[in-house]
Amino acid sequence: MPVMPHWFRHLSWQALLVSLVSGGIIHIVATLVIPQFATASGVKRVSAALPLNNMKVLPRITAENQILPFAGPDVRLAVCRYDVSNGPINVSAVLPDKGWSLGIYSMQGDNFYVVPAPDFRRGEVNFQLIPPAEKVLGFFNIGRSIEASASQIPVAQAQGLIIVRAPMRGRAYQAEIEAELQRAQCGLSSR
Amino acid sequence: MIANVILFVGLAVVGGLGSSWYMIEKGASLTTIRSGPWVAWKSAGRADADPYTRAHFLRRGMLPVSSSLATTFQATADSDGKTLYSSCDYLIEGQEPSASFWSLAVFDDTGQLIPNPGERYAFNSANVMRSANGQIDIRLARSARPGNWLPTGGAGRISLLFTLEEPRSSAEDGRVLQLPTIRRLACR
Repeated sequence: MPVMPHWFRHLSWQALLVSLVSGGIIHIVATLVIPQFATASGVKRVSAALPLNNMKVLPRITAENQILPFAGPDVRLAVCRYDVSNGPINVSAVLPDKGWSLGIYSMQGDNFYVVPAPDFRRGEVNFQLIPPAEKVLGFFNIGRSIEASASQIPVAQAQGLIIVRAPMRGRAYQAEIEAELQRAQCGLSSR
Repeated sequence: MIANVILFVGLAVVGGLGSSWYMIEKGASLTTIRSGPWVAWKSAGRADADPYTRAHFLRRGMLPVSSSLATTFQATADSDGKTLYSSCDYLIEGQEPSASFWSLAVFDDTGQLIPNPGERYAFNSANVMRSANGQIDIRLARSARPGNWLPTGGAGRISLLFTLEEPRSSAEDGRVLQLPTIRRLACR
């Protein structure tokens, strides 16, 4: 029969239970709190140098010009920092080839809406971001705005980022990719 | 009494904090997919991401592409499990993935690109040289090598990012991909 260590006999099952439950609570709290101590979230890093409600093509990513850690160098980005507090934002972009995409990010970095380039054809994207207050059933966080059409996207938070992402297949394509990214637009609606 | 205090500190404090750190930094099969040394987070960049995935990317200051568009694998060790160092030469070899676009980039351990005069940081499906049988091999080394060479400078610990652009990503449907192996050739 195995011999129990001397100290083991001093342990109480109540202490074991309290330790396990406390461990679980500490685990959950730490998981939720640790991100709050992040020096700068990805969204904040990108937003820092961007004008509001304006699409800007970011320069090519190099060692000397890298905003985000682990940012792939063969991707070019056009980014718009939006704020729908003062009204809807009109967004348009061209997704000319496979691998291109348009994503809408919340300030927490969640990519809550994404449009990939369609296969075998040139995609044009046009939509309007509408403020959270315009939701009919906003109180229950369901439903769409009364005026919301298929081309309107209600956002849960007033601020966030729109990112048009283009894979850079080689430096020879740089000018062409930049020209397509320059066509992306984002601005306050004049309705 | 002392035994109970030690039990509490061990289980509650060390266990609670340690397991949280592990789940955020390394992940588990619940949150990640693995193929050899490569690790990808299943719900990266998505609004329905679990708290561990969310914390992982927020803590690192990253802005990941949604895993419904692309799968981003990261490797910090070779296929034998040894940490990747810039003082070693590595060969990354395997069949080319079937993704419409893929990219393999090298970073230092903080996620910064490694400066080099040629501004050579990555290879992708459009610019990599392939062998006759469709294999790809990419060499990581400090000084120039023939073929697909990525300079690692004097970065110390290094990290690789392998991004596969797919209409429906492997991270989303849980497929296990056969990704290239990372073989250590020599160290200084």
